[in-house]
Amino acid sequence: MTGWWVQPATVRGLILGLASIGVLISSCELLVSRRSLTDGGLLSWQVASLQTKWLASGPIHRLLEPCFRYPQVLLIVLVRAAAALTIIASVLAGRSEWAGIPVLIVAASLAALLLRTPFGNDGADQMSLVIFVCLSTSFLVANNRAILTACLFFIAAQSCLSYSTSGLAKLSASGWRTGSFVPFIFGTYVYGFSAVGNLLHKSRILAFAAAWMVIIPECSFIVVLFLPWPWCLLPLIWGGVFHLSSTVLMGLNTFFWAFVATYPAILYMHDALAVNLLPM
Amino acid sequence: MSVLEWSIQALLMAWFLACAVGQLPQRYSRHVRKFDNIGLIPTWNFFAPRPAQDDFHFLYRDFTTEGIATEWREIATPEWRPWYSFIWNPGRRERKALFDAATVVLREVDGKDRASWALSLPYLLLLQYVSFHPHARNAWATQFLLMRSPGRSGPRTPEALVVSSVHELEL
Repeated sequence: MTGWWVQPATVRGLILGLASIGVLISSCELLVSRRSLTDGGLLSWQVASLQTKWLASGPIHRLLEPCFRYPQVLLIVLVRAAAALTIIASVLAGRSEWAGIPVLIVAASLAALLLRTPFGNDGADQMSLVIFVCLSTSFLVANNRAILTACLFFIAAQSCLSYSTSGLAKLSASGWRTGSFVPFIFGTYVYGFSAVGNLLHKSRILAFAAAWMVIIPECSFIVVLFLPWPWCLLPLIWGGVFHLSSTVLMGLNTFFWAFVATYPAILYMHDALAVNLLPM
Repeated sequence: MSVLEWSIQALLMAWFLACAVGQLPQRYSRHVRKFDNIGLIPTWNFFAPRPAQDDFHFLYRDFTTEGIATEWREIATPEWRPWYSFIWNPGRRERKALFDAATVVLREVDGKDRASWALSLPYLLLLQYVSFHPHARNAWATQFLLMRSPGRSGPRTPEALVVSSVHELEL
């Protein structure tokens, strides 16, 4: 098969563009809710620095303290937002190969904020970190197809690992197998949606179906790498719908961008495997 | 292939293997996670095996110099997200932080004495959080309460989980 997904530089650009949208949204949200970053907030550095000895005192603490305390930490968030915007602009201009420095900035700032506090982070932050740290290595040596390919394979493999792990963890829990967890998840204020929660509380069959509509595709997601074209698109369509539903029903708005950003890498790896390993 | 290419590929392979091992139960994965403070080894088991099925409620009260304990006051009462939260959800991270802190406090409390869990990081975070909220006039100490209510529509009866020690306020 030929298409944009066989060009590693194009694939990288698309991954970076999609992931940067999520990073930009997340950064702007953090700037608006910046009170949480203060000493009295739930993302307080003053408390979180106590998580390890080397963060609480010593040379590393002295190095990080000026950057992590409030309001200086807002500069990290602002720079991250600006870098994400730059990446999006370069991708739209068809010049993603120039985005090396902003990619490195996003990777470093994601790592910094995850180091600053262990609270309040989620899967979207984790996947974004994986994407940006990995792809920043591809900019270290310009136009190196071998390194870029390795990076794209890594991202595809991480994506498959994430779905498989999540699916198997759900499969191991009886509440997921029976579907009994689902109405309660959608009944919470934090992740729920009242109309859906009410419906699922009333219908055990619907809750059961909803659970297995997530468990089966997650557990089997890895087959996306081996299914023949165009059937390999089915798991990705499921993924897109799943993350869109999570965004609308659970407010997990940045998950969509972070995880769908990995799909171009999956198509790239699928094509490489089809050409090199599997019979057509 | 050059040395640099081999090195980067080996590094990515090692990173992926660490991530794969990191998804195993803690007794197997704790060694690879030991030095990972920034999340390079992600945790991919979202909402599993036990997902969030409850809302946490966080309350506090003060003790005044007149010997009065004030009424419990709730901080950031849980409520349904606004309709636009699928695009813009700035409260998400703070709600998650409260959820994370509450979950870890519950784990710490289970089977340990108060002296241990009252020094845990999430406990200190919640205490700091409460300390920065407005207090009653002549308050000399404060106390917080963690409660939980099940995820369902209609009336809910929150269940008390953890009551903190009484902590003096800096006047």
